[in-house]
Amino acid sequence: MARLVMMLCPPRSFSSLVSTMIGQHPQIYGFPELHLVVRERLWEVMEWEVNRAKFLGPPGMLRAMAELMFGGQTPENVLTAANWLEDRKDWKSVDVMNMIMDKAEEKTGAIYCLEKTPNVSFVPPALERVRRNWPDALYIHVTRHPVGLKKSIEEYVSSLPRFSEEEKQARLDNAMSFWPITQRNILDFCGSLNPGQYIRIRGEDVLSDSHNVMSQVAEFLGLRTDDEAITAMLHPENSPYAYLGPPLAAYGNDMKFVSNPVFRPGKIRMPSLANFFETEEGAVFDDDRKAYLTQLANCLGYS
Amino acid sequence: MGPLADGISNFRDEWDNFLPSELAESGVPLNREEFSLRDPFSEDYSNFRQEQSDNKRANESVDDDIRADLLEKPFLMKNPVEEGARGAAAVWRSLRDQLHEETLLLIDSSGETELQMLRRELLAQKAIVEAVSLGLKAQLDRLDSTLSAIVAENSNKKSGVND
Repeated sequence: MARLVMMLCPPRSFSSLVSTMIGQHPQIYGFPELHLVVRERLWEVMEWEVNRAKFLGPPGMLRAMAELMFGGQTPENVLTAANWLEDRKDWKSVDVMNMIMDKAEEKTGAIYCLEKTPNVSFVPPALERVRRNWPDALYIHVTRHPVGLKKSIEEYVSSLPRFSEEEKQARLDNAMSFWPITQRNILDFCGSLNPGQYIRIRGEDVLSDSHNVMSQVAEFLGLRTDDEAITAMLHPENSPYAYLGPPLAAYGNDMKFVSNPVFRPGKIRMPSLANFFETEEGAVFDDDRKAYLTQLANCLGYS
Repeated sequence: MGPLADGISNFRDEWDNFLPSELAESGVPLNREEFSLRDPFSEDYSNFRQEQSDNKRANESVDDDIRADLLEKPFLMKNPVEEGARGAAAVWRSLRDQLHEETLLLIDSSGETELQMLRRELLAQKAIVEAVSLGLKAQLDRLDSTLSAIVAENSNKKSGVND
Protein backbone atom coordinates (compact mmCIF):
# COMPACT_ATOMS: atom_id res chain seq x y z
CA MET A 1 0.00 0.00 0.00
CA ALA A 2 1.12 3.56 -0.68
CA ARG A 3 2.46 5.40 2.36
CA LEU A 4 0.34 8.16 3.92
CA VAL A 5 1.53 11.76 3.98
CA MET A 6 -0.69 13.91 6.18
CA MET A 7 -0.76 17.66 5.87
CA LEU A 8 -1.28 19.39 9.21
CA CYS A 9 -2.54 22.96 9.29
CA PRO A 10 -5.45 25.10 10.45
CA PRO A 11 -8.10 25.91 7.84
CA ARG A 12 -7.31 28.97 5.68
CA SER A 13 -3.55 28.31 5.57
CA PHE A 14 -3.23 28.03 1.78
CA SER A 15 -3.79 24.34 2.41
CA SER A 16 -5.82 23.59 -0.75
CA LEU A 17 -3.21 25.26 -2.91
CA VAL A 18 -0.19 23.75 -1.15
CA SER A 19 -1.59 20.22 -0.87
CA THR A 20 -2.73 20.21 -4.50
CA MET A 21 0.72 21.42 -5.58
CA ILE A 22 2.49 18.71 -3.58
CA GLY A 23 -0.05 16.16 -4.82
CA GLN A 24 0.97 16.92 -8.40
CA HIS A 25 4.41 15.37 -7.89
CA PRO A 26 4.45 12.37 -10.28
CA GLN A 27 5.05 9.92 -7.41
CA ILE A 28 2.31 11.29 -5.11
CA TYR A 29 -1.48 10.99 -5.31
CA GLY A 30 -3.03 14.14 -3.83
CA PHE A 31 -6.52 13.67 -2.43
CA PRO A 32 -8.98 16.45 -1.73
CA GLU A 33 -10.18 16.68 1.91
CA LEU A 34 -11.37 13.16 2.75
CA HIS A 35 -12.50 13.95 6.35
CA LEU A 36 -12.36 10.24 7.23
CA VAL A 37 -9.96 10.50 10.14
CA VAL A 38 -12.03 13.02 12.09
CA ARG A 39 -14.03 10.15 13.61
CA GLU A 40 -13.45 6.47 14.40
CA ARG A 41 -16.37 4.99 12.43
CA LEU A 42 -17.79 5.89 9.05
CA TRP A 43 -21.29 6.56 10.42
CA GLU A 44 -19.78 9.11 12.81
CA VAL A 45 -18.05 10.78 9.86
CA MET A 46 -21.36 10.86 7.95
CA GLU A 47 -23.10 12.39 10.97
CA TRP A 48 -20.39 15.02 11.20
CA GLU A 49 -20.94 15.86 7.52
CA VAL A 50 -24.73 16.11 7.94
CA ASN A 51 -24.06 18.71 10.63
CA ARG A 52 -22.10 20.66 8.04
CA ALA A 53 -25.03 20.41 5.60
CA LYS A 54 -23.18 17.84 3.47
CA PHE A 55 -25.94 15.28 3.33
CA LEU A 56 -24.37 12.62 1.14
CA GLY A 57 -21.03 12.37 2.93
CA PRO A 58 -17.63 14.07 2.64
CA PRO A 59 -17.57 15.80 -0.79
CA GLY A 60 -13.85 15.17 -1.22
CA MET A 61 -14.25 11.48 -0.48
CA LEU A 62 -17.23 11.19 -2.86
CA ARG A 63 -15.18 12.85 -5.61
CA ALA A 64 -12.16 10.63 -4.98
CA MET A 65 -14.34 7.52 -5.07
CA ALA A 66 -16.10 8.64 -8.25
CA GLU A 67 -12.72 9.35 -9.83
CA LEU A 68 -10.86 6.23 -8.70
CA MET A 69 -13.56 3.58 -8.33
CA PHE A 70 -16.52 4.41 -10.54
CA GLY A 71 -15.07 5.83 -13.74
CA GLY A 72 -15.02 9.60 -13.27
CA GLN A 73 -16.54 12.53 -11.42
CA THR A 74 -20.12 12.57 -12.73
CA PRO A 75 -23.30 13.21 -10.70
CA GLU A 76 -24.32 9.56 -11.21
CA ASN A 77 -20.97 8.28 -9.95
CA VAL A 78 -21.17 10.58 -6.93
CA LEU A 79 -24.53 9.03 -6.06
CA THR A 80 -23.06 5.55 -6.53
CA ALA A 81 -20.23 6.54 -4.19
CA ALA A 82 -22.73 7.89 -1.64
CA ASN A 83 -24.63 4.60 -1.78
CA TRP A 84 -21.38 2.69 -1.32
CA LEU A 85 -20.60 4.67 1.83
CA GLU A 86 -24.17 4.43 3.11
CA ASP A 87 -24.01 0.63 2.80
CA ARG A 88 -20.79 0.47 4.81
CA LYS A 89 -21.55 2.94 7.59
CA ASP A 90 -20.42 0.51 10.27
CA TRP A 91 -16.91 0.27 8.79
CA LYS A 92 -13.96 1.79 10.61
CA SER A 93 -12.80 5.01 8.99
CA VAL A 94 -9.27 3.64 8.76
CA ASP A 95 -10.46 0.74 6.57
CA VAL A 96 -12.27 3.09 4.18
CA MET A 97 -9.19 5.29 4.02
CA ASN A 98 -6.90 2.32 3.29
CA MET A 99 -9.32 1.17 0.60
CA ILE A 100 -9.21 4.51 -1.26
CA MET A 101 -5.41 4.68 -0.86
CA ASP A 102 -5.16 1.21 -2.44
CA LYS A 103 -7.30 2.37 -5.36
CA ALA A 104 -5.07 5.44 -5.85
CA GLU A 105 -1.95 3.29 -5.86
CA GLU A 106 -3.53 0.74 -8.23
CA LYS A 107 -4.59 3.42 -10.68
CA THR A 108 -1.55 5.70 -10.63
CA GLY A 109 1.33 3.72 -9.11
CA ALA A 110 1.80 6.47 -6.49
CA ILE A 111 4.33 5.82 -3.72
CA TYR A 112 2.62 8.28 -1.38
CA CYS A 113 -0.98 9.38 -0.87
CA LEU A 114 -1.38 12.93 0.44
CA GLU A 115 -4.38 13.78 2.59
CA LYS A 116 -5.26 17.09 4.17
CA THR A 117 -8.23 17.64 6.42
CA PRO A 118 -7.57 20.89 8.28
CA ASN A 119 -10.24 20.14 10.90
CA VAL A 120 -8.04 17.30 12.19
CA SER A 121 -5.74 19.87 13.75
CA PHE A 122 -8.56 21.01 16.06
CA VAL A 123 -9.06 17.54 17.51
CA PRO A 124 -6.08 15.93 19.30
CA PRO A 125 -7.80 12.50 19.38
CA ALA A 126 -8.04 12.63 15.58
CA LEU A 127 -4.31 13.36 15.35
CA GLU A 128 -3.68 10.41 17.62
CA ARG A 129 -5.95 8.25 15.47
CA VAL A 130 -3.75 8.98 12.45
CA ARG A 131 -0.55 8.18 14.37
CA ARG A 132 -1.97 4.93 15.71
CA ASN A 133 -3.37 3.68 12.40
CA TRP A 134 -0.46 4.73 10.16
CA PRO A 135 2.66 4.54 12.34
CA ASP A 136 4.91 5.11 9.32
CA ALA A 137 2.99 8.18 8.07
CA LEU A 138 4.93 11.33 7.27
CA TYR A 139 3.66 14.81 8.12
CA ILE A 140 3.91 18.21 6.48
CA HIS A 141 3.07 21.09 8.81
CA VAL A 142 1.97 24.17 6.84
CA THR A 143 1.84 27.48 8.69
CA ARG A 144 0.52 30.95 7.98
CA HIS A 145 0.97 34.21 9.89
CA PRO A 146 -1.71 34.45 12.64
CA VAL A 147 -2.94 37.87 11.50
CA GLY A 148 -3.20 36.73 7.88
CA LEU A 149 -5.05 33.62 8.98
CA LYS A 150 -7.47 35.63 11.15
CA LYS A 151 -8.32 37.92 8.23
CA SER A 152 -8.83 34.97 5.92
CA ILE A 153 -11.12 33.21 8.43
CA GLU A 154 -13.17 36.38 8.82
CA GLU A 155 -13.58 36.71 5.08
CA TYR A 156 -14.52 33.04 4.76
CA VAL A 157 -17.00 32.93 7.66
CA SER A 158 -18.73 36.10 6.45
CA SER A 159 -19.30 34.49 3.05
CA LEU A 160 -20.88 31.27 4.36
CA PRO A 161 -24.64 31.16 3.85
CA ARG A 162 -25.22 28.19 6.17
CA PHE A 163 -24.43 30.10 9.39
CA SER A 164 -26.89 32.40 11.12
CA GLU A 165 -25.69 35.92 11.93
CA GLU A 166 -25.31 34.84 15.56
CA GLU A 167 -23.17 31.84 14.65
CA LYS A 168 -21.05 33.92 12.31
CA GLN A 169 -20.42 36.47 15.04
CA ALA A 170 -19.39 33.77 17.54
CA ARG A 171 -16.86 32.43 15.01
CA LEU A 172 -15.59 35.89 14.17
CA ASP A 173 -15.13 36.68 17.88
CA ASN A 174 -13.06 33.51 18.24
CA ALA A 175 -11.17 33.71 14.96
CA MET A 176 -7.86 34.56 16.60
CA SER A 177 -8.04 31.61 19.00
CA PHE A 178 -8.14 29.12 16.08
CA TRP A 179 -4.51 29.80 15.26
CA PRO A 180 -2.86 29.13 18.66
CA ILE A 181 -5.13 26.14 19.32
CA THR A 182 -4.33 24.34 16.10
CA GLN A 183 -0.65 25.25 16.08
CA ARG A 184 -0.23 24.08 19.67
CA ASN A 185 -2.05 20.83 18.89
CA ILE A 186 0.21 20.24 15.90
CA LEU A 187 3.39 21.17 17.75
CA ASP A 188 2.51 18.94 20.73
CA PHE A 189 1.67 16.13 18.32
CA CYS A 190 4.81 16.51 16.22
CA GLY A 191 6.86 16.48 19.42
CA SER A 192 5.88 12.84 19.87
CA LEU A 193 6.89 11.79 16.34
CA ASN A 194 10.18 10.21 15.39
CA PRO A 195 12.87 12.56 14.13
CA GLY A 196 12.60 12.92 10.37
CA GLN A 197 8.90 12.09 10.35
CA TYR A 198 7.76 15.64 9.73
CA ILE A 199 8.70 18.84 7.98
CA ARG A 200 7.37 22.37 8.51
CA ILE A 201 6.90 24.88 5.72
CA ARG A 202 5.47 28.39 5.69
CA GLY A 203 2.60 28.92 3.26
CA GLU A 204 3.97 32.37 2.48
CA ASP A 205 7.28 30.80 1.37
CA VAL A 206 5.44 28.49 -1.02
CA LEU A 207 4.09 31.61 -2.72
CA SER A 208 7.36 33.50 -2.82
CA ASP A 209 9.90 30.68 -3.32
CA SER A 210 7.88 27.81 -4.68
CA HIS A 211 10.58 25.93 -6.58
CA ASN A 212 12.88 25.65 -3.55
CA VAL A 213 10.10 24.76 -1.10
CA MET A 214 8.69 22.08 -3.41
CA SER A 215 12.18 20.63 -3.94
CA GLN A 216 12.63 20.54 -0.16
CA VAL A 217 9.35 18.67 0.26
CA ALA A 218 10.24 16.15 -2.48
CA GLU A 219 13.65 15.62 -0.90
CA PHE A 220 12.09 15.13 2.54
CA LEU A 221 9.85 12.41 1.07
CA GLY A 222 12.80 10.82 -0.75
CA LEU A 223 11.21 11.44 -4.15
CA ARG A 224 12.45 12.73 -7.49
CA THR A 225 13.71 16.31 -7.41
CA ASP A 226 14.40 16.72 -11.13
CA ASP A 227 12.98 19.69 -13.03
CA GLU A 228 10.14 17.71 -14.56
CA ALA A 229 8.89 16.57 -11.14
CA ILE A 230 9.17 20.01 -9.52
CA THR A 231 7.58 21.76 -12.50
CA ALA A 232 4.61 19.38 -12.25
CA MET A 233 4.17 20.56 -8.65
CA LEU A 234 3.83 24.15 -9.84
CA HIS A 235 0.72 23.25 -11.81
CA PRO A 236 -2.02 22.50 -9.27
CA GLU A 237 -4.62 23.19 -11.97
CA ASN A 238 -3.80 19.76 -13.46
CA SER A 239 -5.27 17.95 -10.44
CA PRO A 240 -8.67 16.30 -11.03
CA TYR A 241 -9.81 17.97 -7.80
CA ALA A 242 -8.72 21.52 -8.68
CA TYR A 243 -12.10 22.40 -10.14
CA LEU A 244 -15.68 22.45 -9.02
CA GLY A 245 -16.91 18.86 -8.72
CA PRO A 246 -20.31 17.48 -9.73
CA PRO A 247 -23.48 18.67 -7.98
CA LEU A 248 -23.83 17.16 -4.46
CA ALA A 249 -20.03 16.96 -4.11
CA ALA A 250 -18.83 20.23 -5.54
CA TYR A 251 -15.90 21.05 -3.28
CA GLY A 252 -13.47 19.01 -1.17
CA ASN A 253 -11.05 21.89 -1.59
CA ASP A 254 -11.34 25.57 -0.73
CA MET A 255 -13.97 27.34 -2.85
CA LYS A 256 -11.64 30.25 -3.60
CA PHE A 257 -8.97 27.84 -4.82
CA VAL A 258 -11.27 25.85 -7.10
CA SER A 259 -12.57 29.04 -8.67
CA ASN A 260 -9.05 29.84 -9.90
CA PRO A 261 -6.58 26.99 -9.23
CA VAL A 262 -3.65 28.30 -11.28
CA PHE A 263 -0.59 28.95 -9.08
CA ARG A 264 0.05 32.69 -8.94
CA PRO A 265 3.34 33.24 -7.11
CA GLY A 266 4.22 36.46 -5.37
CA LYS A 267 5.70 37.91 -2.21
CA ILE A 268 3.15 38.46 0.52
CA ARG A 269 3.66 41.45 2.79
CA MET A 270 3.99 39.80 6.21
CA PRO A 271 1.70 41.38 8.85
CA SER A 272 3.02 42.22 12.31
CA LEU A 273 1.56 40.98 15.60
CA ALA A 274 2.86 44.09 17.41
CA ASN A 275 0.92 46.31 15.00
CA PHE A 276 -2.14 44.09 15.33
CA PHE A 277 -2.12 44.43 19.13
CA GLU A 278 -2.32 48.19 18.69
CA THR A 279 -5.54 47.97 16.69
CA GLU A 280 -8.99 47.91 18.27
CA GLU A 281 -9.30 44.16 17.58
CA GLY A 282 -5.87 43.38 18.98
CA ALA A 283 -6.31 45.48 22.11
CA VAL A 284 -8.95 43.07 23.48
CA PHE A 285 -6.23 40.51 24.31
CA ASP A 286 -4.72 40.64 27.80
CA ASP A 287 -0.95 40.59 28.36
CA ASP A 288 -0.88 36.81 28.93
CA ARG A 289 -2.55 36.12 25.60
CA LYS A 290 -0.41 38.65 23.76
CA ALA A 291 2.77 37.13 25.18
CA TYR A 292 1.60 33.61 24.39
CA LEU A 293 0.65 34.47 20.80
CA THR A 294 3.95 36.27 20.24
CA GLN A 295 5.99 33.39 21.62
CA LEU A 296 4.15 30.81 19.51
CA ALA A 297 4.41 32.98 16.40
CA ASN A 298 8.16 33.44 16.95
CA CYS A 299 8.54 29.71 17.40
CA LEU A 300 7.01 29.22 13.94
CA GLY A 301 9.15 31.91 12.30
CA TYR A 302 6.73 34.86 12.43
CA SER A 303 6.95 38.16 14.25
CA MET B 1 -26.29 5.01 19.55
CA GLY B 2 -27.24 3.96 16.00
CA PRO B 3 -25.99 5.54 12.81
CA LEU B 4 -27.06 9.16 12.49
CA ALA B 5 -29.25 8.78 15.59
CA ASP B 6 -28.00 11.95 17.18
CA GLY B 7 -27.51 14.75 14.71
CA ILE B 8 -25.52 16.91 17.11
CA SER B 9 -21.80 17.22 17.04
CA ASN B 10 -20.89 17.65 20.63
CA PHE B 11 -17.49 18.72 21.88
CA ARG B 12 -17.88 16.59 25.00
CA ASP B 13 -18.61 13.49 22.88
CA GLU B 14 -15.51 14.12 20.85
CA TRP B 15 -13.42 13.64 23.95
CA ASP B 16 -15.45 11.21 26.01
CA ASN B 17 -15.91 8.69 23.18
CA PHE B 18 -12.19 8.44 22.85
CA LEU B 19 -10.65 5.97 25.24
CA PRO B 20 -7.30 7.15 26.59
CA SER B 21 -6.53 3.60 27.74
CA GLU B 22 -6.21 2.51 24.09
CA LEU B 23 -3.50 5.03 23.37
CA ALA B 24 0.21 4.82 23.20
CA GLU B 25 2.25 7.53 24.88
CA SER B 26 1.18 10.81 23.37
CA GLY B 27 2.27 14.39 22.97
CA VAL B 28 -1.25 15.83 22.90
CA PRO B 29 -3.75 16.38 25.74
CA LEU B 30 -6.22 13.51 25.78
CA ASN B 31 -8.93 14.83 28.06
CA ARG B 32 -10.89 18.05 28.04
CA GLU B 33 -9.62 19.32 31.39
CA GLU B 34 -6.01 18.89 30.39
CA PHE B 35 -6.79 20.66 27.11
CA SER B 36 -8.63 23.58 28.75
CA LEU B 37 -5.91 24.15 31.31
CA ARG B 38 -3.12 24.05 28.73
CA ASP B 39 -3.09 27.75 27.88
CA PRO B 40 -5.52 30.72 27.87
CA PHE B 41 -6.54 30.23 24.23
CA SER B 42 -7.33 26.55 24.78
CA GLU B 43 -9.69 27.59 27.57
CA ASP B 44 -11.33 30.21 25.29
CA TYR B 45 -11.74 27.66 22.52
CA SER B 46 -13.10 24.99 24.83
CA ASN B 47 -15.73 27.44 26.12
CA PHE B 48 -16.57 28.53 22.57
CA ARG B 49 -17.14 24.95 21.40
CA GLN B 50 -19.23 24.12 24.46
CA GLU B 51 -21.38 27.20 23.89
CA GLN B 52 -21.72 26.28 20.23
CA SER B 53 -22.94 22.75 20.94
CA ASP B 54 -25.34 24.02 23.64
CA ASN B 55 -26.82 26.53 21.17
CA LYS B 56 -27.06 23.89 18.49
CA ARG B 57 -28.85 21.51 20.82
CA ALA B 58 -31.31 24.27 21.76
CA ASN B 59 -31.90 25.15 18.09
CA GLU B 60 -32.38 21.52 17.13
CA SER B 61 -35.16 21.09 19.65
CA VAL B 62 -36.92 24.21 18.31
CA ASP B 63 -36.49 22.94 14.76
CA ASP B 64 -38.03 19.58 15.69
CA ASP B 65 -41.17 21.36 16.93
CA ILE B 66 -41.37 23.33 13.71
CA ARG B 67 -40.74 20.35 11.47
CA ALA B 68 -43.65 18.43 12.91
CA ASP B 69 -46.02 20.88 11.22
CA LEU B 70 -43.85 21.94 8.35
CA LEU B 71 -45.89 20.43 5.51
CA GLU B 72 -49.16 21.78 6.88
CA LYS B 73 -47.69 25.16 7.73
CA PRO B 74 -45.02 25.94 5.16
CA PHE B 75 -44.96 29.56 6.31
CA LEU B 76 -43.00 28.29 9.33
CA MET B 77 -39.99 27.68 7.11
CA LYS B 78 -37.61 30.44 8.05
CA ASN B 79 -34.90 29.76 5.53
CA PRO B 80 -35.99 28.39 2.12
CA VAL B 81 -32.41 27.74 1.03
CA GLU B 82 -31.69 25.57 4.06
CA GLU B 83 -35.02 23.78 3.77
CA GLY B 84 -34.35 23.27 0.06
CA ALA B 85 -31.05 21.55 0.82
CA ARG B 86 -32.62 19.38 3.50
CA GLY B 87 -35.58 18.66 1.24
CA ALA B 88 -33.38 17.65 -1.70
CA ALA B 89 -31.46 15.27 0.53
CA ALA B 90 -34.68 13.79 1.93
CA VAL B 91 -36.18 13.32 -1.53
CA TRP B 92 -33.01 11.72 -2.79
CA ARG B 93 -32.76 9.40 0.19
CA SER B 94 -36.40 8.35 -0.01
CA LEU B 95 -36.49 7.84 -3.78
CA ARG B 96 -33.06 6.31 -4.09
CA ASP B 97 -34.23 2.85 -3.07
CA GLN B 98 -36.73 2.92 -5.91
CA LEU B 99 -33.84 2.72 -8.32
CA HIS B 100 -32.33 -0.41 -6.84
CA GLU B 101 -32.91 -4.11 -6.44
CA GLU B 102 -36.04 -4.16 -4.28
CA THR B 103 -38.21 -2.21 -6.73
CA LEU B 104 -36.76 -4.04 -9.71
CA LEU B 105 -37.59 -7.34 -8.03
CA LEU B 106 -41.11 -6.09 -7.33
CA ILE B 107 -41.54 -5.09 -10.98
CA ASP B 108 -40.28 -8.45 -12.20
CA SER B 109 -42.37 -10.57 -9.85
CA SER B 110 -45.73 -8.76 -9.38
CA GLY B 111 -49.10 -9.44 -10.94
CA GLU B 112 -51.18 -7.02 -13.05
CA THR B 113 -52.98 -5.22 -10.19
CA GLU B 114 -49.80 -4.65 -8.19
CA LEU B 115 -48.01 -3.45 -11.30
CA GLN B 116 -50.83 -0.96 -12.08
CA MET B 117 -50.63 0.43 -8.53
CA LEU B 118 -46.86 0.61 -8.62
CA ARG B 119 -47.04 2.34 -12.00
CA ARG B 120 -49.35 5.04 -10.60
CA GLU B 121 -47.01 5.57 -7.66
CA LEU B 122 -43.93 5.84 -9.83
CA LEU B 123 -45.67 8.22 -12.24
CA ALA B 124 -46.73 10.45 -9.33
CA GLN B 125 -43.18 10.53 -7.99
CA LYS B 126 -41.82 11.23 -11.46
CA ALA B 127 -44.26 14.13 -11.89
CA ILE B 128 -43.19 15.66 -8.58
CA VAL B 129 -39.50 15.33 -9.40
CA GLU B 130 -40.06 16.82 -12.88
CA ALA B 131 -42.03 19.76 -11.49
CA VAL B 132 -39.26 20.53 -9.01
CA SER B 133 -36.71 20.01 -11.75
CA LEU B 134 -38.45 22.59 -13.96
CA GLY B 135 -38.50 25.12 -11.12
CA LEU B 136 -34.83 24.50 -10.37
CA LYS B 137 -33.94 24.85 -14.04
CA ALA B 138 -35.59 28.28 -14.11
CA GLN B 139 -33.63 29.28 -11.01
CA LEU B 140 -30.39 27.97 -12.54
CA ASP B 141 -30.96 29.92 -15.75
CA ARG B 142 -31.45 33.09 -13.74
CA LEU B 143 -28.39 32.30 -11.61
CA ASP B 144 -26.24 31.60 -14.68
CA SER B 145 -27.11 34.91 -16.25
CA THR B 146 -26.26 36.80 -13.03
CA LEU B 147 -23.09 34.74 -12.58
CA SER B 148 -21.78 35.36 -16.10
CA ALA B 149 -22.18 39.11 -15.53
CA ILE B 150 -20.20 38.87 -12.25
CA VAL B 151 -17.51 36.63 -13.80
CA ALA B 152 -17.03 39.11 -16.63
CA GLU B 153 -16.69 41.93 -14.09
CA ASN B 154 -14.19 40.00 -11.94
CA SER B 155 -12.06 38.53 -14.72
CA ASN B 156 -9.54 41.37 -14.44
CA LYS B 157 -9.18 40.99 -10.70
CA LYS B 158 -7.68 37.47 -10.87
CA SER B 159 -4.14 38.49 -11.60
CA GLY B 160 -3.04 38.90 -7.97
CA VAL B 161 -1.22 36.24 -5.86
CA ASN B 162 -3.07 33.27 -4.33
CA ASP B 163 -4.83 33.87 -1.04
